[in-house]
Amino acid sequence: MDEFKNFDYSDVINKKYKFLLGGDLDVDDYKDFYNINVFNGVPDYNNEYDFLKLEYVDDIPFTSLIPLNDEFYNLRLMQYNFEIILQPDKPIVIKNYYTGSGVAIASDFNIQCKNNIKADLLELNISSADKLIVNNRNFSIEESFLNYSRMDFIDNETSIFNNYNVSVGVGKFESVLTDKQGKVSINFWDINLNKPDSTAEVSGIVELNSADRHGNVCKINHLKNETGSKQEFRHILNGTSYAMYDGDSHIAVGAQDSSSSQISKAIMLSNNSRILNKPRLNIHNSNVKATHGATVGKLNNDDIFYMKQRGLSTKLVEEILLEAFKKDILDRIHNQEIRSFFHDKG
Amino acid sequence: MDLLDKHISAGYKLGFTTDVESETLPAGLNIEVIKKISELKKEPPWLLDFRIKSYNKWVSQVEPNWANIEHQKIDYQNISYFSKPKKKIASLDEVDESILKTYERLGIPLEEQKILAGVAVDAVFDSVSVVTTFHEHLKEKGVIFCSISEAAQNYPELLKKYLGSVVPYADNFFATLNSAVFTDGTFVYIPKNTRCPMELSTYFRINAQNTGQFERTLIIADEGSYVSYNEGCSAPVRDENQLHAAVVELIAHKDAHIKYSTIQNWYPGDENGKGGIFNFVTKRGICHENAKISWTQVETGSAITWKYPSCILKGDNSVGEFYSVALTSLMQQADTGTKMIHIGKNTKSTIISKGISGLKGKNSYRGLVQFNSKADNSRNFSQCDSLLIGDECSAHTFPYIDTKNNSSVVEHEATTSKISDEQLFYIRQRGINPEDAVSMIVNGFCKEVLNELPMEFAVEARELLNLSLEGSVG
Amino acid sequence: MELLNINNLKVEVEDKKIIDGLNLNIKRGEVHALMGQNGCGKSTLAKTITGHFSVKVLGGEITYRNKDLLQMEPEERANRGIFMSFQSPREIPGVNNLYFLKTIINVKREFEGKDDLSSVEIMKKIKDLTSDLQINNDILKRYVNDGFSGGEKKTNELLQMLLLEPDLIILDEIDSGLDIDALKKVGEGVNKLLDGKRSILIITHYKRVLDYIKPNFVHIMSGGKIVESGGIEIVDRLEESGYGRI
Repeated sequence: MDEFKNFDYSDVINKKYKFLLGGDLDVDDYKDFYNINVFNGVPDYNNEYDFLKLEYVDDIPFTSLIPLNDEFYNLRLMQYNFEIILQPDKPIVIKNYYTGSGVAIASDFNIQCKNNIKADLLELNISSADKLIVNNRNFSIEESFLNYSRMDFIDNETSIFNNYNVSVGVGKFESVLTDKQGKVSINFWDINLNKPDSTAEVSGIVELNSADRHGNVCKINHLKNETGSKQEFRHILNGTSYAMYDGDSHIAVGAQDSSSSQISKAIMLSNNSRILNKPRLNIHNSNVKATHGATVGKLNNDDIFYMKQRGLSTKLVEEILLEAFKKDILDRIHNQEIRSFFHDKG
Repeated sequence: MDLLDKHISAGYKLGFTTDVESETLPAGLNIEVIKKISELKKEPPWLLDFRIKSYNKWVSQVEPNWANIEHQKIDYQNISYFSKPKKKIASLDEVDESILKTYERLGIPLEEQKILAGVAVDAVFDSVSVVTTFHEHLKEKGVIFCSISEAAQNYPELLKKYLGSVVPYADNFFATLNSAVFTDGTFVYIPKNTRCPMELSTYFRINAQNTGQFERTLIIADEGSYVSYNEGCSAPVRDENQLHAAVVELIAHKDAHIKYSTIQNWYPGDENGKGGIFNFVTKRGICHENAKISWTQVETGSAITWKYPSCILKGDNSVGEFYSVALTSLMQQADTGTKMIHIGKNTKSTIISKGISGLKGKNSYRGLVQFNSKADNSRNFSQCDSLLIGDECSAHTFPYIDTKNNSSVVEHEATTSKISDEQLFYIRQRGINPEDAVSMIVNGFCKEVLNELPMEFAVEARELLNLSLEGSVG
Repeated sequence: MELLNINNLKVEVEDKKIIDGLNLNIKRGEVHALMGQNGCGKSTLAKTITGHFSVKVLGGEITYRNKDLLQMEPEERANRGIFMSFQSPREIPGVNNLYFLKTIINVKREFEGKDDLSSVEIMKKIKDLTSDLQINNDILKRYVNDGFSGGEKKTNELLQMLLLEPDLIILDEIDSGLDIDALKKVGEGVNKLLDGKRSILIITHYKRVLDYIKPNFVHIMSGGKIVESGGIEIVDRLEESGYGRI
């Protein structure tokens, strides 16, 4: 792993990725963040911040189940523990830089939040050339509140798979993902609400173009009483893209007075794109509130006409309506700074 | 929760057996049995070929296991594939007294009452159609309403043209089995621009032991015609499970409208899950231009219900509807729903599904709504609601919505609710007894579906729902 | 000076002929009222002038400030000064109303080759208007028309109209959903814009609105064309005998 550390990334960060970050605004302009750079799965962090403890756990073999260029990869997963031990006063940003082309790279973090911590965590995945990225994120939240968000800056030759295992024991996990582009990009969620009074919210915006493929596969297990979950994904589809939402809420026998909601909305800008929604519910307990809904359509012609009558061009009207469509999701990011980052970059 | 837990075990009211001499083929399935069925029914050779082709396919198929149900393995060699009352029947007067009595006890008198109600009935007793009423009267209008066996003799061209045209012989394991061994069922043909003058109705009864029922229904509504068709089912209480694997095919030609209503009340088994009918049914209709098919079902019986009445909306402007109430109580399991396949332009579909689970019932809605890329300006509205009564039951919803067209509009809603003690208390505080309170809530919950049933059947369905829930509150 | 010129207009909506040979001329500074029963085609005329997607023009012509209006996109017509107050303004959840107002002002300025107004300047303009018209500033913070009452929606239309200072104002059933007080307020607002250069086309079923905005010309529409034109006296006659006479 030292070979990664000794590699000079400054060139990569300064030149190669600047365009991906959209013009003159660099991530580092957001001074109010605690930044942690990760290069090909290896954090460049020496416990500088007293609120965050990093520990190298293990080097475990991992076989990617997903092929890149028809090959299955055997990877070494370097697993790290990130433990948020004190209340941070600013949001934490983990920036994952991936280099190389035609390769598969994995990273594996256990992120723990215990004892009344309230933290905002933003993760960025940055890659340009074609590759396969596998991110494993194991969240363990106890008596804490984690507001997690993620944004990708990848090209449409890159495939990215994010496996999220979340365990919440009295606390709250909320996340907002914005997925743009990517050849194949899938988020797998497996969330366990282990103790009463635990909640999880998973929200996302999926914007696809050309032949992008995307999936949100989200399983939430309500194991104890008074647990709550919300899933909401909004899709904007163009080109010949294909999005899938596979939601699965399980409400176990003991999970009295729990609530679950699953929502998928899609705007299809092109007639060649496709969306498959599977909002599934499995309820083993009668005293619960569970709802799901799915809508698919295009932008409303009467809305467009109303705004055009006020002098706005079709293009601007579409932009405004799509922004409005995304707004509800982005509003779920608690931290103002991160939210404006999403507005600027999204 | 004690209050709600008791209600359901009032017992199945239609579980008597009828003592009638019958001729039953020995259990087991092979080519010889199929040839024998065909021979007993004096079928034309093409029909025997259809059966043999199906059988050969079936042997290579495996039983599907994707449904959210659990059951003991079905031993297909332990089932008799043909049973009929011994006496040969030429007219209603000759029908065995005990069979007529059976239908009277079921609330389906085959004679005078139905004349008043204006409903024509075809009654299928085990494997054969015993009587079809109003045959002649309908004939004047050109409407054909007879058993499939008669159709094979009298209308072979129509049967040959449409049999297997919507549900192909190799469609799925149970449909293929049916195609090989189907015994009887109903055949309906409504000529062009004809409104069928009365409700048509078939009543299915499984009586004999160790017998499977494999009926086949084929309804053809020619251009501009209308028909409303109803089916009801029941079976005696028996300890072993009995298999029912039916196939229903509907063809709605240009501008035609078929309304198909089912009240399914097969024996559900006892509270320990012993006995009951395994109901594996394939129902599908095809809509040509401007045509409409409405499926309405009230499913209260069977140990297992596995059925997905579907619409292929092939023609432009065609309409598909699915209204369903599925009630699972005792140890019943239901995996039911629909498929709406939008192929033509401006096609519309509506799905209203109401699942009710009580005691240890397991209720799943499974549905597919698909918009193909040519189905411009098509719409679907789906609503899947679940009502739970008690703590040991479960409700599952598996909606699949596949959209390949951006001018289509899909709206899907689902809710799960329960009858709470507070709700019950509130209603009781207003002076209403708990059973009426439950039935008030359940009827309110199902209202949109029950409203779709023809009047006489809506009354029957309401009573049935109340009966099935009897004992769920104390 | 001619502002709008409609000549032998023929229009269909959903394969049905709605307007059949309509002529109408509106000069600068004039207020016209177009009256008629429901379904006579008056709202379709408003949609045709503003370029609604449901309208198919079969024949005839419309010139606006000596330009062929029918060739223009709806937004170009708007930017050239045609404003319609919708009978039922669209609700657009997710789009902040203040943001929307700022955007439409600056888009029009850009079209006219003027510099953008700063947020502060726009805010001042809006605040002046809202205090002048006694509009609750609350509607600025909400989404465009989202959850607005009937009165709030019409007030919001009025606010947009006053900010855009259009040349041709089309009021499509402006009094629907309004009580007398609200209608009076809207009437006052519209009258503020009457400076002898702007023109108004009032589309209405009822006489009520004409008590607040006085027309110079009244036209009765029936069967897709104007069947009678004159002054306010027509309205009084209508009041007595209804549309049935026509």
